Amino acid sequence: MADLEIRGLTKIFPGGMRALDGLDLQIQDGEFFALLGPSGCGKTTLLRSIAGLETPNSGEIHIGGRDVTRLPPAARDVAMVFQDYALYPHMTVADNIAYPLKVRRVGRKERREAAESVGRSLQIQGAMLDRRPGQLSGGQQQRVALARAIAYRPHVFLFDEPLSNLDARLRLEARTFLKQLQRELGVTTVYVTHDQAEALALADRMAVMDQGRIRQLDTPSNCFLRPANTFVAAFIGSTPMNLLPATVQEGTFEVAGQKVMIPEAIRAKVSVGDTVILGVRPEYVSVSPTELPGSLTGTVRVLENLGVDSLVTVEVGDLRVQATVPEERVPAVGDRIWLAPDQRRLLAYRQDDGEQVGAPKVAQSDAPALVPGAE
Amino acid sequence: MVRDGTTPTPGSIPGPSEAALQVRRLLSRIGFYLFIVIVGAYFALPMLWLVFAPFDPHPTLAAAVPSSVTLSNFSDLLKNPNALRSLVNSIVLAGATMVLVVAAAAPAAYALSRVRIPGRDLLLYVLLLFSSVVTGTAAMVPLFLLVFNLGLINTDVGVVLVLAGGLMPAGIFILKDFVDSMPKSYEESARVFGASSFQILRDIVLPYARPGLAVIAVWVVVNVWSNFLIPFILIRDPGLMPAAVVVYNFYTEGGQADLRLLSSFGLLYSIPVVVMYLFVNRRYGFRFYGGIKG
Repeated sequence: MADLEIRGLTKIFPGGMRALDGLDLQIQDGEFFALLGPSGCGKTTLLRSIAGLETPNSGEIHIGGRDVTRLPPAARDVAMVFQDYALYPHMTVADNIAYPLKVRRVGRKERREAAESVGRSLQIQGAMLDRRPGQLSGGQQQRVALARAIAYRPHVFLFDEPLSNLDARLRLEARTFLKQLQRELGVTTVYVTHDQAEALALADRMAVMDQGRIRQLDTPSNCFLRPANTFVAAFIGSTPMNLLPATVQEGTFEVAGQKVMIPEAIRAKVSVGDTVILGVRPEYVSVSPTELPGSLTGTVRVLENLGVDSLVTVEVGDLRVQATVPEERVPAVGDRIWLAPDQRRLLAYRQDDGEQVGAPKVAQSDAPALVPGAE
Repeated sequence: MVRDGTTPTPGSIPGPSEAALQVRRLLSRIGFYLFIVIVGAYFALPMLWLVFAPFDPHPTLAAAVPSSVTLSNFSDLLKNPNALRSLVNSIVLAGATMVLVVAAAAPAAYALSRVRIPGRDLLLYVLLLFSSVVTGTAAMVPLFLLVFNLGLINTDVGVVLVLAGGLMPAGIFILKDFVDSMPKSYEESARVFGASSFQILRDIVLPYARPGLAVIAVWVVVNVWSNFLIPFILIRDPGLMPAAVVVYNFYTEGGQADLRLLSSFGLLYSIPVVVMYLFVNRRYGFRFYGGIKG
């Protein structure tokens, strides 16, 4: 068991691609930590650097207080589960699970016993142990890959999108199983994913990455409820957050020519004339067929059934605002409706750098501000 | 009557009558089978000869069922001191070359597959292109001089080195394709579990490439087995000559080919290769390897 500390980690690939840009990160002992971001954001490079499969250009990696930056993968006591599981096709399931022990020159009999005992806890047993990986289903292969990592008894687990090759239903089952397993083992875990729902569901804390930097480092619920910037706001959530350009007036935001009340918490952080981007999740917009005070009005353009709720896309001036409505109150396309954002959930971001209003300015001239809603 | 879809129905399209079509189809069928028979016979006749002639007391160049069956050809063959020994020599040469090529080509293919060096593919193609020169007639004189200066004339080592050198590039080329098709994550996961490069090669890369190794091994053995030129140039001592060269010596006193010895020796000469093919095919199975992936 060990904590993990990363200081000023930078990785520049040949050709000048800056995959990691002076990254700092601390992961507690036993924590389930998710690295989330779009493809090419550097999350996999970070994971591979921790494993020792990539050599960083500068910076340090400490595992359990030990500087491992220059150590080979073998000396780091980490186990990695790859996206394709990397099960050896010519070995039986038992041999695959026990391969880390074979490397350590453990005898055949002990290896078999270890494979059986680890396999049992993951429902890999009986005849399955003597099959080849090619004869197993995707979910079984994934459990074998997990078993092999567990058999190694590492200080840190590194998971590289281990659920992405499973079909949707199986992925949910495996997710629950994985979280329970990590709790039982208590091993520090770094989990790379591009699926925000997976990160939210699994992690104790998570880092949202973009272009080799961490854009937000927080608990899943904070990342969801209070995204630090428009990038995180747009990336997290199964229905994308509404990001609406607005100007600050006396006591109100003006959005597409209409007025929304400025929440108490934000009022002190903005001044009249500022241009901001308002962020509110569709789940926190209430919908009414009659006029509400301080609400936006527009015409329903699209209805999408999400199961329990429906997602309503409303044209407000030249903007599009989305809201979820429970099944019994779904309006019809073409209806005029009123939308009231929840005052406690309304967020405001600076137009220029996309960070929350009131947040300290980060001196990053090369970080382009994301301006959604403008496209 | 069965009619396939391509035949026009009378009345719909004006054309030859039904009967004429039938005749034409029959003739084309007959022509086709005749062609197959001729081609088949062309390839089958030498095989038939090889099966019948060794047991014929008076074999000719015609493939004919012998009027009486005898083993005297074989007993005469055994009296020739070089005949059986040459088969052993062939086995030694083929085996040694096979071991050398496989042992050297496997790590070379692994390294070339995993290391990025500029011009790697060009290097491989050039090697492949010129490798046939090594075992061919063009380089005969320089090869002889080279081996002579190394003091390896009239030794198995000289023959094995030249043949291995000629066969190595193609061996590397085919094996590299196998290693290329192996996902990188196999090695990476092994490295994370602490395996050394040697352990990765032994436990993962070689077993993964095993069908490729089998293909290379068989291919090398067949090549060495049938190679006449190199041992013919480099070996002087009849006791060291492999079967492919010894065959060349079966003449009667009159200077004519001794068909009795040639046929019985030919049969013995072909058996090991056939047996090896059957064994390897059973064990590994031959598929299309190299070039075709997926």
